[in-house]
Amino acid sequence: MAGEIVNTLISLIKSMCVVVVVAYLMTRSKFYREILNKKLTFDNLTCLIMACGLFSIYGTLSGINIVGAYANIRDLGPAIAGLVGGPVAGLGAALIGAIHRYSLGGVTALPCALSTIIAGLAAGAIYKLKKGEFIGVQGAVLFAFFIESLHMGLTLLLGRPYDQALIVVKQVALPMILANTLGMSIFAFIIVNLIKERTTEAEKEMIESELKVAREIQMSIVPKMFPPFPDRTEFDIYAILEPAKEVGGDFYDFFFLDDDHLCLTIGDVSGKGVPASLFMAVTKTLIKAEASRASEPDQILSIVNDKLCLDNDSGMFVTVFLGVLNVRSGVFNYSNGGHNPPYFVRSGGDVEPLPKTEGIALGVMEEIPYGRNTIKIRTGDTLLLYTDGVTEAADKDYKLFDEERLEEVLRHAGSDEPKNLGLHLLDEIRKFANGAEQSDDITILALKYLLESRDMSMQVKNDLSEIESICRNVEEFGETHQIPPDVIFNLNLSLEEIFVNIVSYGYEDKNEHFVKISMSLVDDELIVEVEDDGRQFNPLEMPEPDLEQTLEERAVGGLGIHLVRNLMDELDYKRTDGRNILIMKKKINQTG
Amino acid sequence: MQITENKRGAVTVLELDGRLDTVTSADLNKKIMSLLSNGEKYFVLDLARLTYVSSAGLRVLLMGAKKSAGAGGRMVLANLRDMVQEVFDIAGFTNIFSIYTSQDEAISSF
Repeated sequence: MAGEIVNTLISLIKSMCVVVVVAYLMTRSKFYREILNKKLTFDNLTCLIMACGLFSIYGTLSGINIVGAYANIRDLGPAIAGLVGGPVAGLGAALIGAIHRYSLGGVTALPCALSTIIAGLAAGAIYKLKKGEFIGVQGAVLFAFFIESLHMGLTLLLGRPYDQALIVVKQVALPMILANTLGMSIFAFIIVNLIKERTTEAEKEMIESELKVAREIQMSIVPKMFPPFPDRTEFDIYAILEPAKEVGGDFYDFFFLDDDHLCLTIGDVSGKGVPASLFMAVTKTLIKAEASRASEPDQILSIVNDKLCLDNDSGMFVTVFLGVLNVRSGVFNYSNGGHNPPYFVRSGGDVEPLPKTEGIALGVMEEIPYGRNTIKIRTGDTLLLYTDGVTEAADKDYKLFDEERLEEVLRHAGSDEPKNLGLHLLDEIRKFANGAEQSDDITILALKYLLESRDMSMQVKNDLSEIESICRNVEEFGETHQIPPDVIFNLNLSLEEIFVNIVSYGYEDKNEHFVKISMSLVDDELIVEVEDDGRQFNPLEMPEPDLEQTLEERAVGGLGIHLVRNLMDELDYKRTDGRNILIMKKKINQTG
Repeated sequence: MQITENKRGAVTVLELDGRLDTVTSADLNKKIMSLLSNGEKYFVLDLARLTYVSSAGLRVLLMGAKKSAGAGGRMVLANLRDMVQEVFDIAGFTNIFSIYTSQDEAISSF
């Protein structure tokens, strides 16, 4: 007896394994996916009917012999077909299984065939009731239980002779109910699993399409056509925006305020996804609208900030850098709301971040004061605006690209055309990241100033004999730009005084050194720069001579700087990288 | 720069033509020093054709004036052009030099 039970169990387990395999294969098939999507076509229904019908036949053939009667899982196939595919599928599979069984004959031929058909139809009815939704594991198992109970009942009702039918039922009722409910639970579990998987996939797709929308918003708003102003030869401009997978809300923009003034702006919204891109769109639009009202960069940021704060329920904020370039003169006015200071790459190769100005990100609080600064951009200089997607690009060890690497790239490629510079920088970032996922938008905006502005620049040796050459160049510059002779006089005098100081006191060695003198005329102001690599010397610190002294008392020295102070309007000194830089300014339309 | 030397009685007149800058001021200095060592002590510097002066030139003039005064003499200037005049003003030299508007006037001041 025990041996028989063991054999029965083993056969049962084998059958269940077949069930698992069949269930798995069936549910992973293409036709089943369509059925799951409630797309019932002739083709996939046929597949379902065939599969479940054949499985039903298998159920009959693989029946476990229990004292002459066969416990089997014939009803399972049609039941599955009906539950997932509706009454047509259920009936179709059932007919296949039922006809095959009936053709085998025997005491229980009729009740078995009948209950198989009932299984298929009842399952189909449930499908219709649930409007195509799968009944679930519990429901399926209960259904299987009832169908098999019904099967046993039918056998007693219809089986002839009755007493033989009774014997069969006594033998097989328990194992059949057990096997069918077990088999059904396996099937149902696998189906439910698949459904869950599909739901998760659908949710993922929805999120991805939302991100796609965000990216589309972002990309459609920023200017993408290059060159944007083909007829403007004063500068060359190029921009790149590489959105991260989770869109980060970067933006950039450039537009002319009038014929001579180009507005440049770049920003980064806190947050990701559609909310960030919408906030970015609002910010960009506000900036453009305000800038058109011909205000200064700091005023633009201030007004846009107040407006952003007004209806900012989301609590998002945005860092913004905004500057206005006078393309005629190279004067660049800018203001910064908490954004990475752009880099200024001089044509000589010096790389420096723009001096900081007062102000924080926009959208945080109203009435924030914003500062403003002005620099002069010369021929061949480049401005590089960027967002922290550049400096915070990370590799797989979470090392950051950082300002140092950015500056290195700018030092080497800073004089390239903006497009080459931008693409090269992006390439360097990608190489650095080495496959690590991009976590933030990368935005790069490069502008190179091409206009040969009213400039002059010369390098002279540290020798007094060079004074003549300096003088000649100054006079030539003055003639070219119609600078009044008294200004030329003062300029020559000031340059001589400064130059003589450098030559006489700047060097301890007897070597040849070069002094760079450059000047430019900007909006009726003459700006002169003298740069040398001598020892630190700030002429502004020289004491003033006492002009009240008598002839006898007067010291012989100290006059040179005094003259320069009085002849020039403004003097500035700084020491950078081992060089003295003196800047002198003089307005021209004043008399002398 | 050209230096034209003339003697008018006890007064040495030096007419400067051109620029008095760091380089050329050395020449002027040499000239004045040699005249002083020859005993000359009354000087008129006619700057009618002087187009430019820098602090080096001012220094030479200052030293020349001090030395002349020290020897019991004087150094005066004449005919300063506008820009040169301005430089003198800024340097405060108009306080310590006598400046005349003609060579004759300058000479007769002695």
